[in-house]
Amino acid sequence: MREDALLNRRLATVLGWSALASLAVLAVLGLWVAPPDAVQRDAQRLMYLHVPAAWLAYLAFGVTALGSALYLWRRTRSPVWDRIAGASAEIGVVFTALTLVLGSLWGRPVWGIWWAWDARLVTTAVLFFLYVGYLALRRIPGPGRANRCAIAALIAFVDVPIVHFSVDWWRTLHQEGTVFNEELKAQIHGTMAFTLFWGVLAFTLAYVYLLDRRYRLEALEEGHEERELEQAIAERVASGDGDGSGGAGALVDSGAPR
Amino acid sequence: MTDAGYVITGWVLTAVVLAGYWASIARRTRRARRTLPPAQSPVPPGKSPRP
Repeated sequence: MREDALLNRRLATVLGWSALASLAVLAVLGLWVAPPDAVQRDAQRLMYLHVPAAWLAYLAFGVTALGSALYLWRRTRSPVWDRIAGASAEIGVVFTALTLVLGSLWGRPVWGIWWAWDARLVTTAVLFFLYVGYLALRRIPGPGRANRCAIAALIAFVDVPIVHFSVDWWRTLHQEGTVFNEELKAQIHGTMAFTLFWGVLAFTLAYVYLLDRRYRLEALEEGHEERELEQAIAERVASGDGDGSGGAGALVDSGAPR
Repeated sequence: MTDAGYVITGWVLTAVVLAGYWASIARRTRRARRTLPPAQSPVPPGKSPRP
């Protein structure tokens, strides 16, 4: 059996090494080459991780929403979209957790506090918990599991624009967008801007690589669920449930997408 | 803690989280492959799966 994957093995390997190399270059740029900020001093170096992590969380949840919509649409319905949605959501949760922790580490020296009940921070925390809930929902088997999860992913995605525009809609301690602000005028230049965009590139490569790896795992685990179900039905039939018309019939739909 | 302390903590933490997540996917994938029945294993017949 050919292993289900998004990328062929060679491309995945090249992508993995490219992601690792670009993250190493980011470390050099962010820790040594970029100058310290006039106001935030060296603490600003955390922004080269915090901002790309936040953008990649948006991207990951966007891919989850897109995959879910394509799964729900009859003309494009395929287990591939459900797997992509699940794989991307898990990576998005990792990036969101990083965003929150790195923001907190930056906030302590610059704001003087670890956490504030600020619109941007709270909506981001809500985003994190929404997608943790989505991942928990994916683990519950049963008929229509993929449908249920796709609908939940689309509902959860509503929080992404709320997170992004929270700094414009409410008075917040968090600064407005440095690049994607209301005037669409970048407030960062030179080496600092280059390092920030390099960070986005490096994190994007890492995201695509991890998505492929996570997708392969999703496909393997799905195969296991189906085989366990078939085995359970066979055991039930063999244990004297006759033609299996008793409970076996109710077990046929594992909820795993086909 | 100084600014440098927060910066180092953040960068090291990011490296640990990304590496840890990658390792977790690799471990779960190896475990899933090991428990596949031979007929459905992606490893060609005659070759043992990687440890």
